[in-house]
Amino acid sequence: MSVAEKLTAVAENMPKVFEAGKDAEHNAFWDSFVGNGTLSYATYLFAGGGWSSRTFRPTKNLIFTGSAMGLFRESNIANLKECLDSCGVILDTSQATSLNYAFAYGRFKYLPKVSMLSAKSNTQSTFGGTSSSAATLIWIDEVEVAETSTFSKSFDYCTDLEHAIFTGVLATNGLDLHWSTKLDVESLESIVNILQDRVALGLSGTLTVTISPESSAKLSDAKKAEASQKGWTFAIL
Amino acid sequence: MIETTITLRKLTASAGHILTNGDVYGKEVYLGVNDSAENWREITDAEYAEIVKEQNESADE
Repeated sequence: MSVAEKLTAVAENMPKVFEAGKDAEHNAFWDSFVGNGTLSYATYLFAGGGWSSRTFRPTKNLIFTGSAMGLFRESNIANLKECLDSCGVILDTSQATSLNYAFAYGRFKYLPKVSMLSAKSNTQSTFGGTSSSAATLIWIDEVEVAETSTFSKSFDYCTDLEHAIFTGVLATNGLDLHWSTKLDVESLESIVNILQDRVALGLSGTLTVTISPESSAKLSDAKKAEASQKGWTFAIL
Repeated sequence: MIETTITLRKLTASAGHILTNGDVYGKEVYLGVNDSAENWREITDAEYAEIVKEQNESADE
C-alpha cells in the first residue's frame, strides 16, 4: 500500500474510529457511574435538567436496592419507557426503600413499571407536581404496590394522567387520585381489583380511596359495589 | 339470565360543604360495607381549604 493509499484508508476509517471511541467512552462513563447496575444508594442519581433522552442512555439494567429518593427529580426525560427500551435495559424499583420524589417535578409523560414493593411509606410525591407546576405524566405502565405501601401526595397534581394499571395488594388508606380526572376505565378498575378484601379477612374498620367525579362517573356501580363489599369506601373529591 | 341486585350507599355533602371522616375528604362518599354515615361529618369548603393549606405548608417543611 502506498503512503497515499494508507492515508486515504485512515481518512475513510476516521468516522468509524471516532464512533468506536465515543462508544468506548460512553460505556466507560456508565460503568463508572452505575457500576454493575445494582445500586444501594441512588438518591437524586438522575435528578436535574441535564438528564434527557439524549443523555440518559444506560448500558445496563438499573436495580435499586436502597434509597432512590429524588431519582429522576426535575429531569428532562419525556419518555422514560422509550429511553429504556431503546437501550435494551430495565429499571427495577421493587427493592428501592425510598421513592420520595423519585419521578416528581420533571417532564415525564411516559413511565415504565414502577414497583413500590419495598418503599413502604417513603412514597411522598413520587409522581406528583405542584400547584404552580402540574405533573406532565400521561402514562404509567404499571404501579405495583405492597400491603405495606402507604401514599403521601404520591399522585398530587397528576392532572394529565390517563393510564396507570395498579397491581399487587392495596391495604392502606391514603391513595388519592382525585387530581387525575382523565384516568381510563381500565386503570380505575385495576384499583378496585387490588383492594384488599378486608371482609373476607375478617378485618374491622374501613379504608378509603379518593377519586375525582369524572373517575366516579366512569366506574360502574358494579365495580363500586365490589369495592364496598371488600370493605372500602370511595371518596369523590 | 342472571339477576343481580347492586346496593350502594352514597352520602352527598350539602352545598358549600365537604364530607370528612377525619382523614379523608369528599363531596360524595360511597360507603364500604362496614362504613356508616355516623363516621362522616360535614365541614365547610372554607374549613377544608384551610386544612389543605396547612397540609401543604407542613409538607413543604
